[in-house]
Amino acid sequence: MKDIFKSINVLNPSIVFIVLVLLTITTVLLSGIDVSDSTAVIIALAVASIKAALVLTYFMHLNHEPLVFKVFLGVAFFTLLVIFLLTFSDYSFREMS
Amino acid sequence: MTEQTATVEIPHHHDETGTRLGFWLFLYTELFLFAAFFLIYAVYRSNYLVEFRTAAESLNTGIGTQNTIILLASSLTMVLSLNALKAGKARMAKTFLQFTITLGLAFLVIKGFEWGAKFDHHLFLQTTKGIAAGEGSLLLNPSAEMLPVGQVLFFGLYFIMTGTHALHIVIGLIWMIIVYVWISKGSINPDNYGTLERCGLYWHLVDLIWIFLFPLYYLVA
Repeated sequence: MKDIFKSINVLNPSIVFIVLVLLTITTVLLSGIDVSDSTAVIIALAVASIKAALVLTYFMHLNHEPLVFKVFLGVAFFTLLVIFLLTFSDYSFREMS
Repeated sequence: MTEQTATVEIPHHHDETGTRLGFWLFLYTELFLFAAFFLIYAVYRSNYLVEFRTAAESLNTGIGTQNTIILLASSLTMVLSLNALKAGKARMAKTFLQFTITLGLAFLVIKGFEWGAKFDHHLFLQTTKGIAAGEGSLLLNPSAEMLPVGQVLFFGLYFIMTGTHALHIVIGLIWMIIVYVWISKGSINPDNYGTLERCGLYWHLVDLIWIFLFPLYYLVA
């Protein structure tokens, strides 16, 4: 049984999973703290980003992929960033009725 | 110079890395689909901050946390299924795939109960038009209690975003069942595991999107 577990590499993904669960519990506990709304959103999104990075790197095996996969990811995230920044640079200066 | 005519047998070429890269491109289109929803959420949240926070309080953090952990666990069993198949253990790969399917179904069932409670409170399909006319959710209950516009937007986005996400879960489940059958038939095997790998990538993306949905709906209340 031990050999089977060794041959299919159970340990590493399980460690990643445990870290992900701990981060989930952390973010739930942190949400109970009374801070300003923007701080709460930043904390929640920061923890979510760490979790996302773990899933991308270890579950989706980006760490074993050639460089071009990481370049694609970078381009996608950069495009998202531009879209969000441009939208908010517009909406922040609008007068909402 | 003599001209030579020779027939060269070109072996069937299959570029596994190229296929995977193409699949990642598809995943980015999915990412952008959800990014549009997140953008709408961000804009309306900044405009209706108080209403969004009030509405978010009606979502059960416990259920959300539970579903997050279920999805994370399903991602783990998916990784293990692929690892098992790569190691030549098709039967174990199928067992782990069964776990993944079960966990995915559990997610849907819990989500279904959660939605059911919201339907009971007439929070589904409330329209701003109904509010303006002094009416509640016209489709479900004309006498439903009125909600402020910001809360209507919150619940509208909640149902659209978690609904689109649940649709992806359903697609992932169907895909996993097909992959399961193909492993049984042997067309997906330790030498040809690309389909299971891509199915796994899709499932992890669904998990990834939930990682962002969860805090934005259940935590920042």
